[in-house]
Amino acid sequence: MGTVRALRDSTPGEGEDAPSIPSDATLVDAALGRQRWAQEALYHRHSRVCLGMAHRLLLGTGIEPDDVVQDAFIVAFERLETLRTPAHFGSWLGAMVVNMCAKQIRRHRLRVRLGLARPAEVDLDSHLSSEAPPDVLLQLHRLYSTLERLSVEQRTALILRRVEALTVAEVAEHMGLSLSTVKRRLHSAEQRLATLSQARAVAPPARPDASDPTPSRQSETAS
Amino acid sequence: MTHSSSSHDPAQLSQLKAQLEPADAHQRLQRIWREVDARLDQQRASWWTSSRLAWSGCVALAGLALALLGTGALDRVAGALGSPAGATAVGDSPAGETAAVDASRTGDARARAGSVSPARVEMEHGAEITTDVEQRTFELNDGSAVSVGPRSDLKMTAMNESQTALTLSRGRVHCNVAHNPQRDFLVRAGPVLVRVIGTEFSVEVKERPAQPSVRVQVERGIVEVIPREGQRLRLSAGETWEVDLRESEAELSAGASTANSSKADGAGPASSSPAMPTPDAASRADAWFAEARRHRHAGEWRAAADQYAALLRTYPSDPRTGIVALELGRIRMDQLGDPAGALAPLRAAERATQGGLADDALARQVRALWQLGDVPSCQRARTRYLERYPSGVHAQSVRELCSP
Repeated sequence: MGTVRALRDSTPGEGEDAPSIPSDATLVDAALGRQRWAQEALYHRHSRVCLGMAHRLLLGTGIEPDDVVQDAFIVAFERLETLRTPAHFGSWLGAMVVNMCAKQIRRHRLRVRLGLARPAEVDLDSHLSSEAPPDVLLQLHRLYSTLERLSVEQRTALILRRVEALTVAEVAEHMGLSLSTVKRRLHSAEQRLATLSQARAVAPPARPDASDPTPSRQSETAS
Repeated sequence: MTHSSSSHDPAQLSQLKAQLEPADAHQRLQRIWREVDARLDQQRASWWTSSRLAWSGCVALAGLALALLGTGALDRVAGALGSPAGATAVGDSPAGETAAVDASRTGDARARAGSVSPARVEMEHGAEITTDVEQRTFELNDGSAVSVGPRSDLKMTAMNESQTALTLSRGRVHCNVAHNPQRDFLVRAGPVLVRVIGTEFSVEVKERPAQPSVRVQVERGIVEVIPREGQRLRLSAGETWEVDLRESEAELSAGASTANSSKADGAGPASSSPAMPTPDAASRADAWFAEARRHRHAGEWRAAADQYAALLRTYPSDPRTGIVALELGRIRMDQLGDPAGALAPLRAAERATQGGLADDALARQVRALWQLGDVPSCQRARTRYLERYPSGVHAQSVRELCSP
């Protein structure tokens, strides 16, 4: 947003009749009364971030992020009265998106294991800008090509931290876990990532199912 | 906690995220909102109905008492509170907002149009569409989609293997054309013929008494405009061309994107403009403009917005100021998800394009304020729009906004 703000400062007419933008808390109050304008304003304010996050969390799984975002907003507006602090609508919704993405990935992995679905191909290149710096491309390729070997919790924590650039505390909030649990997940995920990267450097890539069947089965089957 | 090497450098982290933004986010988010809104509509209706049922229960008890008294007033009381059908009508279109599809020349088309739904119907050769205050969308047999604006008259004059032809005699039509090199897609509006080369565009007949005109606006791809008099010319995405029907002579709309006769040869943007201060400044502004367009076509929205903002700042007297400001507002609003940042350029666009795109700029301000949830400002802007353009192309959509 830094760039946008800088651009805004330089635009003719800036500063005239600055709109009195209502806070999330105000909009949530109105949305509780089924006010369409408030629901729409909340949607426009937060949907882009949600779609981006779902897109990056689900990349390579074959699961449609649009469906998750749609469900998240419907559920959020249905359960709005359970939101304790209206000002925290954004993080509450974000946690909902993260939770739904994780649930969808677990379900998908279970279906793959039962032979009801095929593992999706990671086609990262089609999602990347052709002008991306090579080192960034390399990092993303390395990260996304190994995510399938991680448990869903490890995967989610790693993407939130390394791609979404959230702080560890924010990752914990989004995942509904304690700080120490998130730290453990991140630590184990980073170690696993390093091991897999080293293995990849000395040997050709093996078939995912055959090489590493132990990506925390406990978390995968718990849907 | 141990983390590997440089992966947690904040600058690098933000780079990772920036490289993985979802494509077509604006269109996808709009579609998601339609789905969410439809579901919420059901909730709103059921919430409203349940409130209503509580009232109905009270009425029933009161009615029972009245019936026992033999007054026969129950019907009047219930009638005053509305029927159950009234309760389920929440969220429906207001009465009278209908589209008339007159397909009297083709029985088949009439049969299809007879069951016209608010969403999509097919449109066939000979069909004549007249809309009242609501926009209607039709699918053509060739896979193209045509949205007919409010208060518009459109006729399908040809539909065969080599040609699809529409004639717009009033109002506005927006076409999303399925690419087919074997088939021409033509829209005639008064003295202007628009030939499509696989694209998305709109044609509008403006019936302003003082200045009737036809305007062609291209959103994607390329179209060829063939005025009855004058040279044919090509318009690319983002360009607008307007002809004053009184003079029956092709000319650029004030402040609109440049598209002059030199473009008939497929040349790039116009290289000069009488309003520009010096040739040097003109060519520099052209270069900036071309660079901004290149970014926009490549989907590099931030870079495009940056370029447009710099153009506005550096060349405030450039005749394209209006279209550039409007485009900047549009990008910030639709592509960067920044309706607050869109307001200033939209206001600038409104001022700079009086009589041109000012109504578009003002309508977008209404929508931006609505998206921001600033209802009082939204209502003020809406009032301003409806006072200035009571029958403007955005009047209907603007009317639907800002109501808490």
